[in-house]
Amino acid sequence: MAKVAKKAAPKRFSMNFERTVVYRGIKIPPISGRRSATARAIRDALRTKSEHLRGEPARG
Amino acid sequence: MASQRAAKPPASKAVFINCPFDDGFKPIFRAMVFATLLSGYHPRCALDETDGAEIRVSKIARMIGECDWGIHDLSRVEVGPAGVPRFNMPMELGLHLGARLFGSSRHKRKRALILEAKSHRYDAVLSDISGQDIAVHRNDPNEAIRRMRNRLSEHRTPSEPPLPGSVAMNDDYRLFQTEVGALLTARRLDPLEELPHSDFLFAVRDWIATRAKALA
Repeated sequence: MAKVAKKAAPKRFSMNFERTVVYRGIKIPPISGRRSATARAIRDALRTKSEHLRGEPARG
Repeated sequence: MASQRAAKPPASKAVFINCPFDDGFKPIFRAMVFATLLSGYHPRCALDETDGAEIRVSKIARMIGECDWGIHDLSRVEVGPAGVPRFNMPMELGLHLGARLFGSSRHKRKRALILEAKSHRYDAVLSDISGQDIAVHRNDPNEAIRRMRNRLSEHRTPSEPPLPGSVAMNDDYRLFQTEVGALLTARRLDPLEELPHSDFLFAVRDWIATRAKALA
């Protein structure tokens, strides 16, 4: 019986901040703990800058 | 929904950093934290947020117990304004070595990097460690990154990829300082050197995540 290929859900870029990422071949785990307002602002600014450089993500 | 709280890092990937936290030492401390994160390890230190009622030495001993790695900087064991040296760093090194010598089998795998500012100064400060492999950073953050990277790299398992070179790590650190520094200025937030420790950790990790995405 042919299996229906499961369509992968598109990954949201923002999730990368809370997941292990691979940089220069090294797995970098997330930081545990709660972000302060400043840490959230830095994350959001980095995200905005990155999305600006890569172009706006597709909507819909 | 993904949890905001990640699990505690495994001991094999946890690095206890034992060093001064004053402004004068901050450039070296921050460089060591950056190198630790960039190498895929998790830095732990007495600045980590915990229960405020916990007794300091208990907190430090618990952290040392939870980390296979210990970075012990003895470069500031010197006579201070009070006329006596601070012995916190040698004591914490002693806790690390004691855990390795007398602890359970799990603690036998503990590894230490002992750092000094000048060659053989430790002969006068703590002669019991003479003959051990002491690394010298010459009060240079770049050199501290290189020393940390090289020590962590020595003990990679065959299945693990090699760490980036120290030149690449230092380049990344400069880029991180430039990019996040500009971002903080643009948002009228405190400069990088004024960020609390936990904010600095998140900033480094988030910058790495952004770079990883850009290079993917």
